Amino acid sequence: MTEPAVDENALVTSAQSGCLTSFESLYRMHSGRVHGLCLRLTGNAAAAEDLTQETFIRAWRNLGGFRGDSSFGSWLFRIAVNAVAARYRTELRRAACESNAPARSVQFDPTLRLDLQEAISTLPAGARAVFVLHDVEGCRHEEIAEQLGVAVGTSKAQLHHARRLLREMIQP
Amino acid sequence: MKCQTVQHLLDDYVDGLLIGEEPALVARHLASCPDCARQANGLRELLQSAKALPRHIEPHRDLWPGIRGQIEKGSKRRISRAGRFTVLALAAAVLAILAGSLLMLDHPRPLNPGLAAEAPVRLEQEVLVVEAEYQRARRELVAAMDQLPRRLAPETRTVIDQNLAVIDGAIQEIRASLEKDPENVFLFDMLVAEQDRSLQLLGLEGAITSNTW
Ligand SMILES: [Zn+2]
Repeated sequence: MTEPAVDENALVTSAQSGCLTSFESLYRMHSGRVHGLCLRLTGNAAAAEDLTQETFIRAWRNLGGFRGDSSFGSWLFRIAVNAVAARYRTELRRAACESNAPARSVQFDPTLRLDLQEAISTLPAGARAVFVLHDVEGCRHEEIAEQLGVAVGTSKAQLHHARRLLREMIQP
Repeated sequence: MKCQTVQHLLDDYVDGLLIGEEPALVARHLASCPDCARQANGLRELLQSAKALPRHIEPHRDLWPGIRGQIEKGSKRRISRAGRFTVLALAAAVLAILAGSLLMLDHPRPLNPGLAAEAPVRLEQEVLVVEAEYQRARRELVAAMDQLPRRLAPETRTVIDQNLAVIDGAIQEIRASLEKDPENVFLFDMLVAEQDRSLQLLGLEGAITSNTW
């Protein structure tokens, strides 16, 4: 038995004309992806739920502006990153200022080996965001810099910082 | 190449961002330096684990009811906002009649009347509509009050004017933030709330003035 293929474009068009049921179907199709992204970017379950909701509310409000130039999924992805960046703007800015300063080491017990997932959640906000977007999601530094509102050099420095901290935490 | 140089270039090396002869120089160093080779392998391992992390993580609870609630609250809010402007415009009309002038007031634009879930509106556009309505309601209230003889105690008037100035300052700040982050729903809600406060104060001022008349 094969499920009938859900036509995402038809759902988007229907939602654009105000159909909340179609929008719910789009939510069901993309909630895991958006929530996964928010959870990794924030490292916090409550914040991730909150930002997932905010992403879909923003998406609903902006559906009229979705022209189908990109896939609906990557359009949602950008809204989610924007929502997270707006929430953590202060932290990201502070992180950008600190990126030229000597890197602080995160407090952790060296006898305790964290798994990667846990380790990512303990990173400083800026380093975590850049690592998730670059190394988990495969974004380029130019895209990350634009989305987070930082310089390309800052994105690179944050990535270097994040990778070093993560290796200290998870590799013997 | 020195170890320090190689380790500095390692991120860009594994990301394939080095150009010219650099990648070959780094590779040659890694082939002969166990320490740097260990660093490079550790880095590659980390990147493999990162790529293997699941991208889809379903939330522990169904978030849809909350999302639907917010969307529906949004439409109710828009409807009640239309109602608010009607009431304030009527109040202004009453003040105008009390003052004996024939100030004509437009009817507020109807906003999505009676929709359970209206078609999505770009937040930026909505900000413009809300701003225009606010400015008009404010102008009308001020104009209506100007028609009334002023019997308000000066100290009361000072307090109201001071509060209005504080609210105007807040509105300016929220507008500036909204320009930088035009799709921020929370800023938008703050803007509407401050505009409400401003209009309520103006309405209050008008009411006090007309009572003492
Ligand atoms: Zn070496």
